[in-house]
Amino acid sequence: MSFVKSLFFFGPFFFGIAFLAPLVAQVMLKLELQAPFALSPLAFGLIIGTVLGLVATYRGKWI
Amino acid sequence: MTSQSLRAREKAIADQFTGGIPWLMVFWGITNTVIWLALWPLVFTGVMPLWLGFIIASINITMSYLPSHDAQHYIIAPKGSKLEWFNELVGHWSLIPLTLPLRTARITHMEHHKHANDPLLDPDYSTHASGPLHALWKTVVNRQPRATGGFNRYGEILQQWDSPAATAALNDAIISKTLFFGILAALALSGYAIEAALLWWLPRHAALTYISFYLSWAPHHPADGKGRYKDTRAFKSRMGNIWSSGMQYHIVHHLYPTIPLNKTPAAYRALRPILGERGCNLDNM
Repeated sequence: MSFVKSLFFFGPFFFGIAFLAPLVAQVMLKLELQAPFALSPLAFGLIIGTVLGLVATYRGKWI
Repeated sequence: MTSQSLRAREKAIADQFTGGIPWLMVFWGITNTVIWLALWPLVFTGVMPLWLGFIIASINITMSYLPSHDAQHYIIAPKGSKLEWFNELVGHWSLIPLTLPLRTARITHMEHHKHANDPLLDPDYSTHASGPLHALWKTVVNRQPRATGGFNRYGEILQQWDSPAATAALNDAIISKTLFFGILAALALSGYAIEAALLWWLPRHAALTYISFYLSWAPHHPADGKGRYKDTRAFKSRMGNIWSSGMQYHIVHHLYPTIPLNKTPAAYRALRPILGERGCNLDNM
């Protein structure tokens, strides 16, 4: 059970990199938006997803 | 009239609305999930636009709870009967879009019935709120990763109970949650993140908001009474009875949980004089 608890504790981080990152990238491609600093959509999505996921993991809440 | 004879009259009326298979709920539960599953190939192949799939999925997932709710109470077929498997099938099947396992929903829901409005013992007490806007905000708060309410409260309670049934319900919840996020991630990493978001992730959030508001907060508000005739109310919904999922008459369900959802309005009208005598909160309904 402690393994599961640890896994779920880091759930927002995993969600950020495995779902939010590709979601951001695919939305950018769909809307033909350019990422800043000449980043690829996926790299930009990974930055957004990782930061949001880490912050949510640390705070225990998304908003 | 004494309290006992009033109760006997009440039960005699309620008995007229129990029994038989509620085919409407069965049809609803089975077809709702079939439609939701059909959205995926329809959207993926371009037959259906994604925006339409999003609207239908939001309705589907919102409607997925109530047929299972009848199954949780063994209304579709009684426990121990030949058709118990059918009851369980409808209960499991209808909850697939919501990713809430039947055994988890059932065990926590039965506890809600036993201890409605008890801050410590009612698993649904976290939806308690001072008004509609606060109730909507609570649904958001209860879904945060380390929230103390909502499904996290279910998990906490199931761990505390430490019984075989609670362990099974907890394991179901862990598997269900892992599968849900695993499938979302697999879809996203395969190039279908937008479809996953609009056919499942966002509609599920919309559904949980609605379910928490109309099926939990509204019928128990102000949630300060305990006991058979005080813990649930009848209320006039601005959305009407159908669009509030029949919850205007939820008081009937708490008094007689084996009355199918579609029969609670008629049962309420028949029981109303007695409920009035009991001093129930009927909101002039």
